[in-house]
Amino acid sequence: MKINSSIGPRKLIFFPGEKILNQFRIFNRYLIPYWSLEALVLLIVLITTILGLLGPALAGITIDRAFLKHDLYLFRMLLLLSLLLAVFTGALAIIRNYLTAYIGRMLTFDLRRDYTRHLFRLSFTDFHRRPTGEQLYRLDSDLSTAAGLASESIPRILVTTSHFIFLAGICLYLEWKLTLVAILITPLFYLHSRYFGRRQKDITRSFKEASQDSNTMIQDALANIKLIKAFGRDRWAVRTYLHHRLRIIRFGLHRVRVSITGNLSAGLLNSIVLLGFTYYLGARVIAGSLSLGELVALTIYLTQLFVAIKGMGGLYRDVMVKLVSWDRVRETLGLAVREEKPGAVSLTDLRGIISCRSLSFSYSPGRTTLNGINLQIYPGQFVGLVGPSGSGKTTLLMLLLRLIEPDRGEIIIDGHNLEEIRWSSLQPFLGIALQEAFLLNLSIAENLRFGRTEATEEEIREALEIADMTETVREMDNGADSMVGESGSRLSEGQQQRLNIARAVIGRPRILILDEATSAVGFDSEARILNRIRSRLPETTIISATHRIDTLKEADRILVLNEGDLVETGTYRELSKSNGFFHSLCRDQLK
Amino acid sequence: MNMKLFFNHMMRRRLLIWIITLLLIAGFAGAAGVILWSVRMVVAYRAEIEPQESEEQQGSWTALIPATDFQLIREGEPVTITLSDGTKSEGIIASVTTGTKDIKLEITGVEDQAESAEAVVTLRAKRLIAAFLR
Repeated sequence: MKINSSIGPRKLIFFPGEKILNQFRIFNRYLIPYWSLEALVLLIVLITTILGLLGPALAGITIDRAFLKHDLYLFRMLLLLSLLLAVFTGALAIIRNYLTAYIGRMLTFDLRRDYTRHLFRLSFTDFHRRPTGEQLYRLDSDLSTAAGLASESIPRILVTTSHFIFLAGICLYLEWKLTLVAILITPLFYLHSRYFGRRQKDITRSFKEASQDSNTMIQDALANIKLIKAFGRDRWAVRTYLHHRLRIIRFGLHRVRVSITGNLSAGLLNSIVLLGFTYYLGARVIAGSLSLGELVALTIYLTQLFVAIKGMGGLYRDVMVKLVSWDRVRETLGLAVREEKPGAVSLTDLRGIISCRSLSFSYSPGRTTLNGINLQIYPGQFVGLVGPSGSGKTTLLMLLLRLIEPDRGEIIIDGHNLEEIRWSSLQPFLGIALQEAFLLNLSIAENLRFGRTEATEEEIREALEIADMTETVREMDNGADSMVGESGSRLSEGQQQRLNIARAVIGRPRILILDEATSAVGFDSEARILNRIRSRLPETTIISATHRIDTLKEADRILVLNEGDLVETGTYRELSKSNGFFHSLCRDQLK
Repeated sequence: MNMKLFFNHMMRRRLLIWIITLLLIAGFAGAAGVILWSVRMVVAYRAEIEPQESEEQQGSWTALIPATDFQLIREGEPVTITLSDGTKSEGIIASVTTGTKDIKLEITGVEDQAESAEAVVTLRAKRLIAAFLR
């Protein structure tokens, strides 16, 4: 196991806002591929910021030099310059917006790519720690919002900060005393934003949790629509879902209230300060120490300066809200992923000799699911796994599939510890059919190729034949190109399971794992399938966990599990005669 | 969608965007530069005006105005002379002689004035760019 190192160790905080800056550092590696475009955005931001500052100066010049001196020619030229400025900055804004959108989307794509890779590399246990609805919400909503930190917030920080610096510079040049007062007032705006930012962050966290609960609930309900209809709980599903939505509305409205209060109070603070400044400047015009044009220009510059200060406050609040999503994304990125061990062996061929040595596993401390299992399976053997529910059959298969890791002991395949085999080299030799078919909303052929992408038409035909599906597929309108529907909804459960078996046997695997894979298939069909698997795939090692003990009459060996212990082993005939636990299982099934 | 093709396409587009932006910047800088450099503002100078004494230069006046940055005075352009009593006369700049500290203007077509006088000379003399550089 290796911990993903995208999140570095905690660092000491030296100045306010450094914590937020540290959060941004992680985006460096996502921003670097687009550095040339970011440089262009930066250039455009700088140019448009500087040109934007010409507006008030132009207004002042127009008043003092054109209006007061009755210079129509100059007035026309100034208008022409303004038009030119508007067209140019407009064109640059189009390019900047396009580039920002492009970088934003690509950056989100890159982050989503890494997040998805990480998510799929999580251990089975870690993956299932969160419901699918929550995983989806994090992958979709949280990730987009978190990526917005880099794609939207960083450009906004650049624009607002450069605007503020240039404006402060101009204002200091034109009227340094007043500007100094304005800059000294800035911490007041910072404290205001900090207070409202934190409040918004808390509410956003609750809002997101409510949204994710709602998603999880409705996703669960829709996925289990048969159950809901069978139990007549459709009204309950609607009511529960609406209850979740109302909770979201409540948090949403709370968020809006805080946002409105924050904006209003910031606006009021802004207006009071600006009114004071306007009074001072107006008095200077009346006294004759300032021209009318200078008053206009200064008032516009100071207003813009306060808009920039207010904008920085808004930006702070926005970043705080986005950090909620980023924290949630980081939670997943911080989970350990399963890595191949260094020096893992790549298999080029597999005989199929499987040994388990003192294999133990427990899902929770103190409750052992498998207890020191020792067994040996030889190539081409048909091995049955039987036992009551909860005896550990499926857990043993999950360990073989490396979905979970043993607490103690080891699994040896062809002389190599399973943990030391490169999974990508072992996987092509495995065929897996679980009780739930897990069919994708694709055609029959595409579902089969999911098991082996390079499967030929001949291999598909053979797999369908082994799984007793040839006739069923022939009767369909489009044959193997017929769509199976969502989760195979256009097929019966028996057909789904047979298709599942066909997918497992395609490409002649060396080890075939069946976990109640024929539970919904008719007895005749089941017998035909098992016979065909054994006759067509003589070298394949078959491990079949089942409750239908009769299907194991032809098995080379049956392993009987009870409460995590391997209690008996032998052929059907041997075990039936022994009058042991297997015998009692058979008897119970006959009752 | 072929991801490689998409990324290659976007790489070519990046170059195109850079070229378009640089052309746009160059175009604007040129046009704005022409306006800021060639458009001139009306400026009023306090100056001593003197009538020319030779016979050939009858009706001509000279005015000495201070030389400043971004100044451009062209011959043949109108000039307004406002005397201390408020009397205004229109004239034309006949010649401009630039010195290190002062500029000597020869103004023609001004109504006769017997003696030298203090006056405000108003003419289009300063490039627009100077207005942005206080």
